[in-house]
Amino acid sequence: MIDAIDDLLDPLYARLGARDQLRADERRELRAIAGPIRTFMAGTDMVTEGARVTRSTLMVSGYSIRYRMLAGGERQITAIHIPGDFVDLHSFLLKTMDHSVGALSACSVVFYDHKDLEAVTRRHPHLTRMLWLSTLLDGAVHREWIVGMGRLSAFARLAHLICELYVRLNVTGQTSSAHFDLPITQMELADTLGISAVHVNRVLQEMRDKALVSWKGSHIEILDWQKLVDAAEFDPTYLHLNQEPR
Amino acid sequence: MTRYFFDISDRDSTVRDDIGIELNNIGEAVAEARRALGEMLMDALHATERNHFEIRIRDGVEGPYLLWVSSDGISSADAAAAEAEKSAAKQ
Repeated sequence: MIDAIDDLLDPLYARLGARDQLRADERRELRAIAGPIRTFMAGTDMVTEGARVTRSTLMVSGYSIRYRMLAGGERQITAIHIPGDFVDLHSFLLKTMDHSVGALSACSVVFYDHKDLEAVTRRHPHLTRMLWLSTLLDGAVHREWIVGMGRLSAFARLAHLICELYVRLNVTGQTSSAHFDLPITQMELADTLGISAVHVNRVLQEMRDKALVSWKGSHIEILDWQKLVDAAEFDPTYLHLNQEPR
Repeated sequence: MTRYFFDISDRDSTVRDDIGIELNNIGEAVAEARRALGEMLMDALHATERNHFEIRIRDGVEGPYLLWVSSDGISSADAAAAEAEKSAAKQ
């Protein structure tokens, strides 16, 4: 059972471990306070905007999104989360959700009760900083998305999203050479990039014509990494991938 | 819900949409196309790329409906601006 939980937490260990070494006692603590495992079907809400939450949700498999709905039914997706990400660690202190989290694909999660996280902050100062780092990384990704949304062309924005997801999935061992999965519809991609679904179609076509990526179903293969990076002006500094004492 | 298909043409080519998008009515489809045209035009203008875009909406029953927009027709009111526009296009 402990081995099974460790497998589930591997992406989290990898994500944090890429930034600073996690000690054995810290891993033990994350394992000990891991709550129940739950699965969500694609398209269902995992956390709802406005909810008062008492636990935080760690992704262990699948993909999820943070999003806001507007009055007219329009939606903006503000983050895509992968295994090893907390989707709402910030709710530990913010308490009320200011956005919703939905399952993009079928996903499974592990819950962490806020009272257990509070105990961690008293017993494990370094692990506390690592969890703080986790929310700081979320913030860094949000900033990068704002820059893209405000200043990049739709084509560059899509190129940037592909670069970012590839690098993030690579950290947690979910890529194989230049391949990765992204189970996302045209409409969901439109809501992520802040453009119309019709425009997404054109941008995808342009990406194929330029032979930067091959995109079949949910399967993405990067054909020309350097050209993709150049088109996206992708600089991974904001992902803070250096392992150093924090 | 109806599945609408949006074929997009620019100066060089036409891309036929075989996937389509589910929408409530043709009004929503036209709104979607207008938004896409605006976005494509904006990117073309930023890139000082002379182009025009056409979207043909098909629903398999009525239509097709045709919408188009162009970044060819930008004009500059005075000679200095026209000159600046020309040099921007060259870059």
